[in-house]
Amino acid sequence: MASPFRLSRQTLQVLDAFLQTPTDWRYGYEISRDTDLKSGSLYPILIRMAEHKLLETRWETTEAGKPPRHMYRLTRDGLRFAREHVPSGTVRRQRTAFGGVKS
Amino acid sequence: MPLIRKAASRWLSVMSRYLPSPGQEWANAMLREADFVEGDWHVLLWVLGSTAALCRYSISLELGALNKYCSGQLSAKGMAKSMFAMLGGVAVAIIFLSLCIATFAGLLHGSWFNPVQQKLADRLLIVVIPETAYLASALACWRRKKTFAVGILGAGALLMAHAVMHFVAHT
Repeated sequence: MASPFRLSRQTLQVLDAFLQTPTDWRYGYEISRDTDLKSGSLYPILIRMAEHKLLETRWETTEAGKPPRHMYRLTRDGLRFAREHVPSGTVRRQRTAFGGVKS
Repeated sequence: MPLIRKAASRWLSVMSRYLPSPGQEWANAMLREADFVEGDWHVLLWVLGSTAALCRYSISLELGALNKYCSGQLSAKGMAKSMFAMLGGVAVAIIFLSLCIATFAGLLHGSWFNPVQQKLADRLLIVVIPETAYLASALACWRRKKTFAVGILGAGALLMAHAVMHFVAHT
């Protein structure tokens, strides 16, 4: 089932976003804003990462009476993988060079 | 809640119901995040993107399942199992048709049976009833025993072809 994990530029951006606060749980919209990725690009990456056990997910109720939100964090394997494949700051520098968000 | 935001959320929640179970969790995740997206048009874009992502995910799930099914079917053991199930379907169809023919033969012995009734009984017992039973049983078995159902349908198709040729030749 597990096909090799492709490392596109967008995937590196997502990994880099997680590496900024590696132990924190993050929301999808928050990652989308940090990486400038739309939901149509971001979620397939998150799904693939979860399928490859690089990402752990959980539901968290933020406010009473409101539906829970899905949160994401790198697993131990995911953290190791991200550190191996994303040299610190690389993606953020690329995004700035391409005229994207400044780090 | 503004109309665009409401319609977008509604669309995503309806879509999530038709997804296979692993996709539903992700659809709900995207739906919950949509509540936190600022700006109505941004919500619409978020939902459209989410829809595209979910479609891609569903297609990949379906292709994965198809691939698994095909690789299972192509193995020697899988092929033998499928063939056995299909022949089982054909055998059941033949047994049922034989019972129908035996009933028809029994009716022929009745002194009350006139030629018009005979023609009607012929079509009913040898074509209509078996074909209906084949179709109903194939539909009932389709999800759990697909190859068995294919065997029944194959026998039904042969019987139908035979009946059509018979009627064309005799009318």
